[in-house]
Amino acid sequence: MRIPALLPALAVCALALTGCGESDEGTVTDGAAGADTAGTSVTVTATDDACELSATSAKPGSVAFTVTNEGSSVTEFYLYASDEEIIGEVENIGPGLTRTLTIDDVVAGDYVTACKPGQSGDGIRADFEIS
Amino acid sequence: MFVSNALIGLREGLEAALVVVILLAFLTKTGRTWGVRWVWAGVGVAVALSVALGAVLTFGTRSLSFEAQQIVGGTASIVAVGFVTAMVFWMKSAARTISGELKGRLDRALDLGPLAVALVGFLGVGRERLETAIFFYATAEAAGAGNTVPLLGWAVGIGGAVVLGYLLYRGALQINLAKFFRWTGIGLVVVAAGILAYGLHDLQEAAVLPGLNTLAFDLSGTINGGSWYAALLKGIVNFTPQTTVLQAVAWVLYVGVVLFFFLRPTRTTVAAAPERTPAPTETAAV
Repeated sequence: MRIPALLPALAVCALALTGCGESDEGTVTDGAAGADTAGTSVTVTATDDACELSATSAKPGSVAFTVTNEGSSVTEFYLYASDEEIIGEVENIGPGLTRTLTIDDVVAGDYVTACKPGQSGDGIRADFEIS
Repeated sequence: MFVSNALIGLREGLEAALVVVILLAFLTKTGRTWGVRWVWAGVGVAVALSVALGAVLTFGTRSLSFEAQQIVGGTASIVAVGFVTAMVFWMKSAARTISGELKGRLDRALDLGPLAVALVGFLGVGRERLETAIFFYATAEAAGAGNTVPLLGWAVGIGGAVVLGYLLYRGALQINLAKFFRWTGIGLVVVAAGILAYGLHDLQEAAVLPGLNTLAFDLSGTINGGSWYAALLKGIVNFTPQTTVLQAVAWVLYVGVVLFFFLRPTRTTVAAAPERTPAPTETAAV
């Protein structure tokens, strides 16, 4: 009977862990309220052979990519820095689904977006600017 | 639309189920039924936590940074590998003591205890289930918007994983104890190596570890990532068509070292064992 008490404790640990992650290097989103209002939203329409973004640039800060898969294969969406470092990724976007990738604290610079229908290869890429 | 969402459900369901199924079969088979509810307790907490966190992230204003999600998932995977490895050797020692030792001695081989058993259940299921939960909410949202196909597909996929897991469990109960220890041990080592590679890849994606683009091999041209067999390979042994050098080296090292120690003959108290090459588990037959 000592153990049942431990399991919720463990759960709290895990919650705390992700709580820490949530404010990870985020000065903008530390106050829970201000997060989304200050950010930019970009909608992405992904198909098997195209990746259309509603904008090709955004302001520095929080950027939310809302990706809708209108194709027939599972896709994923990436934001890369110019040196191929992954800034953010959302995978397992099944056909017919919409998933959102929110990235906090994107600094000004040149980036690359990519949709990867079939979840392989370099993907359908486009330049994206934060300024 | 149905099939590809079903394959995601199948893959993630298998990822979650395998370790738990083997642990449950082991506990049942060796008469340690006390442990079964602890496994389920761990699984229950993992599922509840994932569903709750998934809801917070989907419907709340908060979001988990990509990096943090990968670090949490990757670290949990590597911790899970530690527990599964301990479990493999626990099973090995159980196989030894089962062959006619005193009951008290057998029970002392249960050193892992309820908390450890619950933790294996928790980590085995929980390490990447946040992703599964968020995916579930995405299918639910699509269903709310009038498109139920992804949700149905996902549910059928998860259901398929449950059925496969149950069949594996039934099958494991059928085979004799010596074979059971040998094959589930080897199976667990391979599964754990896959979880290790998976965790490392998460950490590489988060740039905690280097070498994300240094590939050992790239079979994405020959293996269709969206196919059913790719889903099974990924779900069971975490095989990915694109594997980094770090993942490949870690996988080979882990399998090599752990299998060596697992298969190495151990001294048993049963007489006449030393000359028999097939070694320890052989003497464990009931």
